[in-house]
Amino acid sequence: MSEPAVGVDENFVPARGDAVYTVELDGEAVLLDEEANRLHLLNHTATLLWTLFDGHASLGELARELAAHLGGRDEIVLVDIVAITRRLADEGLLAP
Amino acid sequence: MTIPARRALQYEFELSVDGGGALEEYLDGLFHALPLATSPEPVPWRLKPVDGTDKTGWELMVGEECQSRAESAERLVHDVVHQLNAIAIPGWDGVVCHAGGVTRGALGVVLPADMESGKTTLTAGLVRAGFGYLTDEGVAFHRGGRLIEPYAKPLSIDPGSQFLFPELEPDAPLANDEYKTMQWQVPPRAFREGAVGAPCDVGVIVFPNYEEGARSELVPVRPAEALVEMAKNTFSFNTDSRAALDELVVIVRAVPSYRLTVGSLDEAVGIIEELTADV
Repeated sequence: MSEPAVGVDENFVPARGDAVYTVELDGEAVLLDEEANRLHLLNHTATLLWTLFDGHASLGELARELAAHLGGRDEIVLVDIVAITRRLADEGLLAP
Repeated sequence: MTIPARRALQYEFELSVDGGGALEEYLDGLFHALPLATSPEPVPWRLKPVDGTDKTGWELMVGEECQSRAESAERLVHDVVHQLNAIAIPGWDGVVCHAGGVTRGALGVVLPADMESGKTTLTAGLVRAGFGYLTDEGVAFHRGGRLIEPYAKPLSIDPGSQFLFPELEPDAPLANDEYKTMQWQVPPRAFREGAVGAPCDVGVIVFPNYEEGARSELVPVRPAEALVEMAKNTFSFNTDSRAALDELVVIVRAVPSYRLTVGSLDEAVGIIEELTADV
């Protein structure tokens, strides 16, 4: 596992790690970290977020997009996706 | 007698025992359900005295290499079965899951589980109940689909489960009982003639877990969760994990998966009979 994620906030621009292979089944992603040879199972919310990580949009922008799409307040969605993103970063699944 | 060469998945071997006799006949019976080899040069497996006499023990030779030694030839029966697993399973050109496998009609039932999860026990219970036997160790899938290749090795029944199958206790006229002290090696025909199932597509996946005293119950498993569980129980998954994952995705997308808590063997067998009743 990587060092705990620091600097993951609304300005953070996440991108999926190059060594991560994604398979999606019924809205849930299974991530294969080919460097660590580890599997990760994401729930529906984390899977949706994972698919939006493109290396261009910040978490703040993603929060606004998701809030508009799902309903809800930007700042509450942001808190949730920052927490999810930190966990993904802690697992070494994001690009540096 | 000469034991005919056999095929274990894609590995072909020809077993012999120096001096032949009852042990050779017994081993021939153990592997009777494996298909006959087709290669002109199967790998020779030989049980032989270490120094040409039987004073200093016996050894199992695979080709030119000694794989194990024991004080008696009978003691090596366990090693023959497990060494065959260790060679045949990694040699299969496809995904092999650590699982029991049975058939009901044309439907394959795969029972992936860790060691000590009661996989062989449940497999044996199902075969006794009339299901066809595919394997108690490695379910081998052909590439790109759901087709299972049978690996009908003898079932290896641990001492803790033997009381459930008293009728299966091996009783061979050998020099001693060391061939059944570690495990009972039970050929499928000990259940009945024709107990081995034919190659078939997997139709359902059931992850069994033995819990003493628990109520046996079946719970659906989501496909993504099933994929992770299947991957964890895939031999050599790390060798080419992406390719293995792609193979497994095809399977878990196509068939339902369940988790089975096994409190009692009879209950668990009844649940799987009910699950597969509409075939």
